[in-house]
Amino acid sequence: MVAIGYIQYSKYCQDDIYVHKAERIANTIIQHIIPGDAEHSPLPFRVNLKTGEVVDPYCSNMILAVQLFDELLKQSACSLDKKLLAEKRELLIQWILKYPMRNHFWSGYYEDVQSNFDNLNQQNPMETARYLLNRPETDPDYKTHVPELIQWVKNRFGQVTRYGATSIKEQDGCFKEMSSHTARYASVVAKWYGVCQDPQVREEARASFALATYSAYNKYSKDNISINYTGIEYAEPWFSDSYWDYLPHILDGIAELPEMLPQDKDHLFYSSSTVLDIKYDDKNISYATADQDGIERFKLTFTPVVYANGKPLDKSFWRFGSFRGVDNILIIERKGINEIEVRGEN
Amino acid sequence: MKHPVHFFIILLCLTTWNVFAEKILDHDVVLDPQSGQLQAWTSYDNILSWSMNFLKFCPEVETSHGKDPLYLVTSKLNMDGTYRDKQNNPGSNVYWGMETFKKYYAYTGDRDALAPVQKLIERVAKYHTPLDWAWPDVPPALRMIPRMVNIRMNGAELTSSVW
Repeated sequence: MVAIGYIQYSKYCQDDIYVHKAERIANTIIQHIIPGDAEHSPLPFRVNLKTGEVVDPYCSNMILAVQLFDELLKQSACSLDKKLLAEKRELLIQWILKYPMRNHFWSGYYEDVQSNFDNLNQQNPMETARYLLNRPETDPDYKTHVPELIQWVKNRFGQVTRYGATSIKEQDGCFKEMSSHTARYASVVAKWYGVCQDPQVREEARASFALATYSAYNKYSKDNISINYTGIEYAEPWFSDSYWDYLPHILDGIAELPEMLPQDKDHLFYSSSTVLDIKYDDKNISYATADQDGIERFKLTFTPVVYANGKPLDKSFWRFGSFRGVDNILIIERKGINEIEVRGEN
Repeated sequence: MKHPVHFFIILLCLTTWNVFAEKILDHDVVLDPQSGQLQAWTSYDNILSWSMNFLKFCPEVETSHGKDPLYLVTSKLNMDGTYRDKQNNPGSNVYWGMETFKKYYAYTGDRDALAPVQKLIERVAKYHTPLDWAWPDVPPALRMIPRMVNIRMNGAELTSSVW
């Protein structure tokens, strides 16, 4: 997870030192990957880093290593053997599809519990589902697997509903409703709605997002500085559950459910790329992305004209109108362009 | 007022509304008047910006590194947002912190939101495992390797340093 964070950070600090740090983590990881079986994942959950002794041999969260290898394969600054990286990535994918995807032994994420093999959680199946939705070419059966994972999590961790909204518990070992996990579930369901277009799926996501707001801005908060409970059944805030593993799920939800957007503000609410630089001014938004090709969606308070390299962008690359029932949405589909300006129409 | 009794009935309704209003945690439940469906209690923009404000203006404690925001030294807080000693989990916070920033920055243009996760990344990057270990040059989980910092509050050491 750290290595992926390093790579993301390097895009903003323009310093390859963090790519190289990630590379060295990956290099260590690669040395320890095994084929794995039902009781041994390709990488262990917990080891003694000094001696190499394996303490917990099973972790179903292999999708993070897959993500790391994806990121490194895209990096020109990466000096690792990319053929080897691709082979190890494929090994991990095949293990996920052969074992946890079939037997649902989704354990091994939370580091503050003793043994994880029998302690199943919602985090790993939902993050695996998110990856498959973002990279559907990974799994030809993703349209079967993703709804299966959603249903499995709902059955095991989401039996409680509050005012019709599914509320998600964390893990067997801490079987408590928490907003980060409710929001995570909602964000994956919302992403699945983007594929299946089923209005019941949309409502399932919308309601869980609404529920997840209630832990924010608790009674000790003031001056627009929000102290967030972890959730309905867990009061004390965590930096993970109350903030960093909570807020991105809301933003992922907004990307799929534009009714969550405010009417009176301009927002870029979805990009298929990483937005490296963006400036919001009155009736003017300029931005640059990491990739030359991509899709962006904006909610605007003005009628736009889109420019690339100082010239109006051909209208075949953008449209302004309704998106999933919400008006004033601008969608740009870029080809070979990574700097865009959106201006108000004169 | 022609009918003061009406005034008192209305006043009674208004003053007792909060007493009987259903709540989830600290907020009155908001339902759509037509469909009865649960709604967010405030806008999602408020949730995002107010939460980010806590990270940007996070309370600090004195450590061997100087004044550190709480996210560098603990994973958990008291309900009022004050320091609580709990095993840290900086690795997952690095990942989710960058996921948060990447999306929040595109959504708001607020570059200041990078500072908290930048501090976290720079701190974690200092403490990779030694090169002669079985798993070299990786960030350790802190259960296996104790705290990277001393935490001092009111002049007293709360935890000990191993590095």
